[in-house]
Amino acid sequence: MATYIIGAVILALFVMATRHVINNYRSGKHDCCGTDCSGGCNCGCGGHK
Amino acid sequence: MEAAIMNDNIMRVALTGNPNTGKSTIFNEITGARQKIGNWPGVTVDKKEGHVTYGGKEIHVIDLPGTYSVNARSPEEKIVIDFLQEQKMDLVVDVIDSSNIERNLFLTVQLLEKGIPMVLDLNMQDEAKRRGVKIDIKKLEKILGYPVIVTVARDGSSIKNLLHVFTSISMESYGPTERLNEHIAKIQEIENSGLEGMELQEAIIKQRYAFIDSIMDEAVEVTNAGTSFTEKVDSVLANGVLALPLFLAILYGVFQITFEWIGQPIADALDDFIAGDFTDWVAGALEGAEVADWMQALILDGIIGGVGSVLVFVPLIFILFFCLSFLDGTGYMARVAFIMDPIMRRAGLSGKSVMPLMMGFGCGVPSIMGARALDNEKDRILSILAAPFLTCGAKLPIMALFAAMFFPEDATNVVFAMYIVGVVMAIVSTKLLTAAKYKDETATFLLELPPYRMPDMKTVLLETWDKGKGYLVKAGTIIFAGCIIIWFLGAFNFDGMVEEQSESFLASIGAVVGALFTFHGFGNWEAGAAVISGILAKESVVSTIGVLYGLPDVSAEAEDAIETAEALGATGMAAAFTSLSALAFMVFSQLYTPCVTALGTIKKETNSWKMMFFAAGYMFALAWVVSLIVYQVGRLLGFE
Repeated sequence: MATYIIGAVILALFVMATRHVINNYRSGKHDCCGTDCSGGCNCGCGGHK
Repeated sequence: MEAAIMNDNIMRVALTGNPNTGKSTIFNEITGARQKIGNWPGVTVDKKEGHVTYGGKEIHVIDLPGTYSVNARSPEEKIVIDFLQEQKMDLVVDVIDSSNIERNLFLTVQLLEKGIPMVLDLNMQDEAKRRGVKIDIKKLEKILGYPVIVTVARDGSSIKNLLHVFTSISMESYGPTERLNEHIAKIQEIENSGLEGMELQEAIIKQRYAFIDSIMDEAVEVTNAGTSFTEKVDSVLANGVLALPLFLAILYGVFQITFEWIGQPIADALDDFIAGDFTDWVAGALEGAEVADWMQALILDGIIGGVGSVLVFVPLIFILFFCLSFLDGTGYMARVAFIMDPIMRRAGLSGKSVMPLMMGFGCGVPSIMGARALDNEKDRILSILAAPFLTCGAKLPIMALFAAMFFPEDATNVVFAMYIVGVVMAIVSTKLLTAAKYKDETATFLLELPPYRMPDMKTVLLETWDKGKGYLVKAGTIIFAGCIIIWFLGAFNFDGMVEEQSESFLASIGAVVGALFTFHGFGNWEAGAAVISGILAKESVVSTIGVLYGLPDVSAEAEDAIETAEALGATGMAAAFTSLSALAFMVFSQLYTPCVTALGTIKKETNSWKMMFFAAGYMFALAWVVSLIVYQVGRLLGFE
């Protein structure tokens, strides 16, 4: 029983993680580039469309 | 643009001003973590909004992009002028660098000409005092007709005063003076004079500076025009033969802090906790709950082993970003662009490329996107193709892991060397591409060097968090999902669950790629699998190693672990690599095909699938060759 419960939790987390990655790809967001580029750049990587 | 929200208890304040006037520091001090960062519609320029409650009023603050003028030539200038003219703000604050007031007044006067009422905030008063700049506030108010306040952005009482002004000032009691109106009339006269193009611009600028000169004569006194602190420091740090060695020494110091003094002890402690107590506790709980063996293996080896091996290095990423943000806050990073400019130009890259390229040390994606600010196609393409060679935060765990495992005595030196390899290869690659395809002249590079100052710690910490948090998010999303996939591929084949990983799907796939590295010293399937997963996200190289070999021991005793493993002929990471093949693997990881996100950005920025596939193949090939040279030359020199 515990195997099924834990399996379901991991599956749910896996789906959420995958959705996050797909949503990022679709909206052009990138987790690792932050939202503010010091140095006066205009890359605007925080959630650009 | 959104409609303004006018409400008695909500007021909207816009901050405008030149770049480097401390505008963002004021914004950070006022709003703290209560910020929302998005984009201005239609353009990729950051839109920063925050809020604060003061004196019973909710104040919404908008930090407009820093600009020197509002001629609507650049996206930033267009945003500022459109916003200020179209939006009904309760208050507009023009943040001025008091130590550089003459240049800053150009924007102020231009905005006043357009009929935008504002509060002039003479910021950086401490710096102005140091430089002997004395401003007569009363006279300035009398000349322009608008309120003038004084701040030192990092000083809490200044911010309180500013908030008090926000909530108590009534702009209706202010308006342009006769003198300002005369200036505006002269500008309108010039605009209607029939002049066109450059001639018209020159005449307007001349009149504007004549007005600014009159303000300077009456309201500003410069008592000490001697050599400033910034000039003195720059004579050593940014000029002459010492500039480059000093830059390397400062960078080395940053690495020493990150990898030796602060970062590594934290990583060791985290490693001990995740691999020790935490894993034991989870294993005990799973055993107690009678969870199936394969599920236990998925959680312990796949998820904890994989995600844990990346999490161990996240503190190092934060410490590195903290150091870089701190240096940026002092004004030194602008000097780095200045120092690197001649080297970049010699390689065929525009000096303007230095700023976007430097962002590559954080993440390749903004670095690639930053190239769009460059003037011509050649500079843009060269900058885009150079950016992925630099060591982004995601490559840091790979470097830190291998350096700690195989070069425990010289970890800092080895990681530092890898960063240098990245920079050198970016330059060499640009030189190669310039010689092969792009032979034009490079554009002129104009860069404003801000004065040196003590960074505002709140701003530094916010920037560090802003840049570093993404790696935590990635660990919980793409790395987590990747670890599960890697574990399944490593645990199953067409016949079901395997006894040995070497019989798995992953081994079959990894062996194909691994075979490419037979002469590099790491021609095993595990390394091949790590290389493939690294294209998904660079941290995946480490998480895949974590899944396949278990959480690596990066503590000070690691050397003994390697010796023991070698003596016993044990399998595992220590037995799969020698020091030389580990070095070759690090070089390959440093240089090979960027992650899918960066590749997608290349496609988007160049609007060319061909360029994206070229970048992927070209970087893989270059990394393959350089890594092969490292391994084979190392062997010839007697290293193992």
